[in-house]
Amino acid sequence: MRTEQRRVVSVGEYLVSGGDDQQLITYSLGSCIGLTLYDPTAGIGGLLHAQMPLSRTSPERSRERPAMFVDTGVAALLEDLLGMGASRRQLVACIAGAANLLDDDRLFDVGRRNHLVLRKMLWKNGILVAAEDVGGSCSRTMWLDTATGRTGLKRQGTVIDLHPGPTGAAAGSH
Amino acid sequence: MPHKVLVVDDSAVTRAMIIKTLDLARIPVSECLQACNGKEALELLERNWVDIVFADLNMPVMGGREMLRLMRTTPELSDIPVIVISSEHCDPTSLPLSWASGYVRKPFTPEAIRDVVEGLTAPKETAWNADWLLERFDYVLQTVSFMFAERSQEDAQPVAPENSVCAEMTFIAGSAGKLWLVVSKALALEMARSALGVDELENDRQAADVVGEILNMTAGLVTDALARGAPVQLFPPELSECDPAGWDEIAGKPIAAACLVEDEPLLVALSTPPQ
Repeated sequence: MRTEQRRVVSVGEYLVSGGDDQQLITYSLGSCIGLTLYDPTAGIGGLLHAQMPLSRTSPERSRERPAMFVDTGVAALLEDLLGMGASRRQLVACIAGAANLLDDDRLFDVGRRNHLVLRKMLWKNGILVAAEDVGGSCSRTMWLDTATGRTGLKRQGTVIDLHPGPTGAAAGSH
Repeated sequence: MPHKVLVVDDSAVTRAMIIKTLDLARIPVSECLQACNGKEALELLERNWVDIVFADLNMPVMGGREMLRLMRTTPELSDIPVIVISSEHCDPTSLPLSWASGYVRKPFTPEAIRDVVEGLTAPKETAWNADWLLERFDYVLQTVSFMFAERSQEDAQPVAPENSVCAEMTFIAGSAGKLWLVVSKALALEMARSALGVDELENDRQAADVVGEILNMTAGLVTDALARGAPVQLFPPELSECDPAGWDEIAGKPIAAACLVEDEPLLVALSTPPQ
């Protein structure tokens, strides 16, 4: 019987897990963006919940909390995963969030910017996106089961299997 | 508004299937004429006004290709949309198929027919303006270089940069036209770094290369819309250096959109809107 431990990733945070049976989960992804990276060979993965696209708008805050920003958040998450022994070429990337919640007239476009900067960071780091569920005007919950690599999300009451993980694991709870 | 349609196929079963599909796809049809071959179809078209023709290619007596050729060379029939529905794989860009308004391969789904008909009957895009042009350019820029074009306010137009790269290309899409993209050198370098996913370029030519490529891809999207089914030809982009006077000249083209990309000025322009 699996005894999965749930760890909640707050806004502007990321968590990593290596070889443990954990569920990393983050709630209330609106215009924020969620990224899971998982190395199925090493069984190492992480989940980032970033709020804003670029750290250059607030270098001070990005030093204190790099995961607030997509560019510094991705760099920090990657550095941790690679430091733990994950292989860049093995990483499976899934994206969720980047909704346009408040600005129908694209006044701020934070969601779209977050998505674009994230894709740019992944491209720069040689990582293709395996699956994504972005845009629209809904809030999302995203999770990664680090024992299986299964990545899922929930939006408007519907559970979506974003990526089954290498073993095609059965659905977890959330 | 309901359409009067003509279905041309030598198989009565296929004609019935096409008619049923139009019904299933909820395409409003006021009257449906049928013909077994191109000759019969042309005879019907002489006596009846029809909104859309659905035609097979391989038919006895007269096939769909000959029918299309005759329709397009007959002034009264030349504007009637023809959707080719055929089991043959065709190159829709070669004559006379490029004269067809749409192409559906058999076996077809109701959705495929619906999509083609809806594409024909949807209100035609008439706003050939700077926003229309910028929207297409922005899609390319986001996909290739992960950057945004931010439209400037009327009262805060971007200042022409001292040194910029200008790409110019000629196209034929129904009629001949030209597209321009003018980018500050700093932005051209960043566009290339971003497209390649590197911090340093091997040489500055890569920046000019990316500007030309982005214009080329934009031209693909723009001419798709301008051509309305006519054959399209794109000529390679020509690159040059541009000063503020050159920028101002291009900013005065009939459709021109100045914008900021990562706080750097950029200008995209089109010679003439379609008639």
